[in-house]
Amino acid sequence: MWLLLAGVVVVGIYLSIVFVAPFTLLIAGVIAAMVVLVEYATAAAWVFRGTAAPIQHLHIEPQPADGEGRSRDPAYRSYYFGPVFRDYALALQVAAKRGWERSFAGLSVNGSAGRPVGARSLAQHLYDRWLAIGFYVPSSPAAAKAVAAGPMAGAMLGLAAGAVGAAALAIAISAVFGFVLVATVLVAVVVAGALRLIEIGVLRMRGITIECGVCHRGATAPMYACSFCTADGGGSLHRNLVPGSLGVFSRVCRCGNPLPTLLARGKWKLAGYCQYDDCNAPLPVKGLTAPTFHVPVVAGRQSGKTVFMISAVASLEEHARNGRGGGFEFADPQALPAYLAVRTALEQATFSAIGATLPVVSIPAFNIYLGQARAKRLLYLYDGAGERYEKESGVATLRFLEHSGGVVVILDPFSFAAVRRVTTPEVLAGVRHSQADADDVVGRFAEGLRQSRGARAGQKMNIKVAVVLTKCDAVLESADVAHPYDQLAGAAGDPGRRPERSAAVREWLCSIAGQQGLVAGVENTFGRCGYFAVSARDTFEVTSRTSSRTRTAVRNDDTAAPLHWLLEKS
Amino acid sequence: MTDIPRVVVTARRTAGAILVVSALATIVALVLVFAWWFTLAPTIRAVAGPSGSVPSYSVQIPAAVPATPTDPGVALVQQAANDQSTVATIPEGYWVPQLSSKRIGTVDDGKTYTEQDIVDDHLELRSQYPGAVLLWSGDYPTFTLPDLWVTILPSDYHSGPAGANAWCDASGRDKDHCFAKRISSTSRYGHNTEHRR
Repeated sequence: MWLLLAGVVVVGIYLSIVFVAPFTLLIAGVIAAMVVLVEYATAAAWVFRGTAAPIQHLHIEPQPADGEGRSRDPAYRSYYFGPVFRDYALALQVAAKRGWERSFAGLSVNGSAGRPVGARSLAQHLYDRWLAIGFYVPSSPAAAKAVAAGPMAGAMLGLAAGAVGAAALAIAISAVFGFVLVATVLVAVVVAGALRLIEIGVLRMRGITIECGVCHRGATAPMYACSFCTADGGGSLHRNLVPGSLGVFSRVCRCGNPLPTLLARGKWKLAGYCQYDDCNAPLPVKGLTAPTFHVPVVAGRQSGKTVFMISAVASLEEHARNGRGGGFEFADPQALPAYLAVRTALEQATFSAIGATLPVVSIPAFNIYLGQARAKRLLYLYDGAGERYEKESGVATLRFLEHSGGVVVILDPFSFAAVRRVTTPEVLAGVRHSQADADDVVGRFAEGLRQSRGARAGQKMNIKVAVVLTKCDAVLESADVAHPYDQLAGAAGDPGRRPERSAAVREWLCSIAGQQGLVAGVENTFGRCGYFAVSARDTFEVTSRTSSRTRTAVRNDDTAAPLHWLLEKS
Repeated sequence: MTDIPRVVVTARRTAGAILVVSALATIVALVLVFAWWFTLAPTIRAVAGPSGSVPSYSVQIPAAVPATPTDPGVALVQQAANDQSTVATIPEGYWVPQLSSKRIGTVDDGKTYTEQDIVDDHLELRSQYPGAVLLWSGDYPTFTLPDLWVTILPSDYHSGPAGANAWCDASGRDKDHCFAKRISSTSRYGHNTEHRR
């Protein structure tokens, strides 16, 4: 009887191993593979769905606005420059842990990632079933276990094989994903570098730079302010807004708004600031969109320098409004109120209301855009106080001289003694004439310019100078003083005959004002010289006036004419 | 749950999409590799032979009809059609060893041949002499009887009968089961059979 039973058991074991075990192996393998893959997909979804997984491990967030020793701009790090790999490592870690728990170890008491606690693994479940099989065959539980051992072992083997196979598939997918990500990052790095080089190359080719209008240093890497979060204590300044690890084409500011990293994508619309810590002054708006052109306006005190400068700008603005001139645009909103005040005084011809320029340490530039398309230029006009040009030490501090593309020299005709001698006291009383020695002022300025540009003494500098005789309305009113143009016949009323008019002003300076030395000094210093006669009363419309001396009709030059002449390509 | 910035959520979802595409690409690639391995690879392995074997010059061995049809008559027709291109490689009017010629009812060595017997006889010769092919005598005018299934060895062709019979001598087959036969698809006249002495 026992022998028969043993035979039945042996046959059962044999049959279970041969016929049942392969099926349990296959089924357990498929189930284990499915479980591991589902856990892998679940972990990946938990991370990459975006809102569930934490982000502290990513180190992607910008440092707080009040953080000390900030080493990078207040923007989110680009997700693909590092954080994505940390996220994927987290997904793999969670998937491996869950897969191991679900297949073999069972869930830990504390659970993981919000899963229920205390669940048994597939392997534990199988083992429990095998242990419990004796309850179904109470007469011979050991025999039942022996018969079921083969299928149980097959299932365990299948479980391991399925888990390993699924893990191998997950690793293969991870390898492909990692390869795609690394390739993406490499391409992004190359593209970022190429875009930076292209932008620098285009700026160099077009000769576009930008200089700080306050400290007068070249702003090679301006800071930009996020236009959406300017009110949070200055923390929104981006010091290095270029393609890089914070974004290739754009970056996301701390406030969550995107900022372009390239001028071509609109970076020029952002407010720019001087990059130097001891300055940080606002740069002209729409910077780095046009080449710059720096023009110091040079004169002694009360020569009419400020009046001329504002008059020239107002004339340019008027031309643009009437469609007679090229493009015109203010580039310095902060200087606009002061400009409008002086412009109003010019409109009302109350020149006495225009105060003298204060001799501040740093001369701020007045910025405007002139011209259109490729001919557009960002003009820097420097209206330094007359005192600055009357002392050698004052000129030496004018850092903007090194950028000068052209110079305007303002000459008050009544500052010359030869003119004053023949001018009636009534006329002199109407004009507050300059007391400064123009020859000295121009000489000191020229020397300062030479030093700033490293030019040798006696060598002409390749810079144009516009010598502008102001207050010419008063000259016309004086019956005793000749006007430069009142002997020009046809050219007196035709501003287009520039060479004749320029020669006439030059001749006036030499013969009437007795400034042969000044003229010779200017012409020996600058590559090209142009001479102009203007009046601030002609700011908004240049009208013919009758010379009190010769009774001929004379038209002064437009106050904007010197600037146009300087900007012309020689 | 902390408030996740929108920029991170968007980037994560994009990365998730890349992961899904990577997973699909990996699965498709694996399926293709397995499909290739189980379909094309056996053929390649068979053709390549055991690794390290030195390839040798050989004549083209005509393949037997892949699956022998149930009807032996159909099998014979298909085999002859399949072998026709090999027979065409014999230069016009050259001599080859003829190993067998049978039709239904042929009595040879006391056996009356059926269509199946002819098929079996041909396949046996084919396995015995690689390169042997089957032709229908009606397709070639050098055969006097037009209704025979003939097995020849086209790879061993000669300009005269002596060479073909020399092969028969060397093969050990008797003179009734191997002799020189001239193969031509255009000329029926003249001396086309040379029995061995």
